[in-house]
Amino acid sequence: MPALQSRFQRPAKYARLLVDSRLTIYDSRMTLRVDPEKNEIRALRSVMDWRGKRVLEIGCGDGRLTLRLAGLGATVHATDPKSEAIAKARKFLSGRFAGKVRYRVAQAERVGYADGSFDAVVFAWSL
Amino acid sequence: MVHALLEAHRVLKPGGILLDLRPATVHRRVGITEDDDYRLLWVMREKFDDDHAADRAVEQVTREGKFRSDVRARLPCFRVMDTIEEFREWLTDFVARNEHENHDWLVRRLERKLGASPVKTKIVVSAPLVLRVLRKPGGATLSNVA
Repeated sequence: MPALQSRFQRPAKYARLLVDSRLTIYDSRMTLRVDPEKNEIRALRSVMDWRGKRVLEIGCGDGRLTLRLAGLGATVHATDPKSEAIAKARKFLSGRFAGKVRYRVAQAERVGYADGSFDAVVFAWSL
Repeated sequence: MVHALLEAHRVLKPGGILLDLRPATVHRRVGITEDDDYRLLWVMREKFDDDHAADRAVEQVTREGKFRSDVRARLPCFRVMDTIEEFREWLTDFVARNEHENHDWLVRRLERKLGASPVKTKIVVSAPLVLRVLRKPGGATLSNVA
C-alpha cells in the first residue's frame, strides 16, 4: 500500500503500532486489509515478551485480539459480558490455539479469577 | 469503569501490566486514495463521553497508587476498504454505535468518486489510537516493556 505509507506512515513516530481491533471478521483477507504490515503484532511485541505469560483479556468480543495474543505465545483467558460474543469467539477458535485460549462470559467488574493470577490484563476497546 | 480497573488490579500479579488500547478522542476521517494521492471527503462527528469517562477512571486509579503509568503512545490507524460494500458495512456499524444520523449521502458520494475514477481507488477511514500501559506496583518487572 505505497500511497498510504508515503502519505501517512513514513513520518509517524509510532508507525510500527498500527492497530485496528474493531474487526469482526476473521478471514485472512480482511486481516491484511486492516493491518497490512502486521503492525498490531509489532505493537503487542513492543510492550512485552508474551511467551509463557498468563494474560486476561477483558471485553474480548469475538476474540480477534485474543487469537493474536495466543499467537504471540501467551496463555489467554478472555471474558466478555455478552454470551453471543463468546459463542462466536469459541466458534472461531482453531485447534492450534485450543489449549492456549479459554473463553468465559463474565462482567468486567467480576471476572471470577483468583487474586494475582495474571501477568497482564488487556482492555482493547472495552474500557 | 473504575470497578473494572480495580478488578484488573486484583487479578494482576505485582509488577504485572495493564494494556488499555482505544481510539483517540478525535473524529474519524473518511477519504479516498488514487495512485499516490489522498483526498479527505468527510469528518465523522462522534461523541466522546465514554472515552472521557474512561480517561478519568484511569487517572483515578493511577492517582490512588493502584497503577503506575509506564507508556502512553498515540498511533496512526487506517482502515482500507476496496469496495463500497465494505464501507457501507463499516458505516452501518459506526452509525449504530455512535447514534449518528443516516449517512447515505456519503455512500452515494463515494460511489460517484469510485465510479468516476479511472484508476484503482480505495476508501480509507483514519483515526489515531491511544495505547496506554499501566503497571501494578511491586514485584519483578516483566521484560521488554517499551
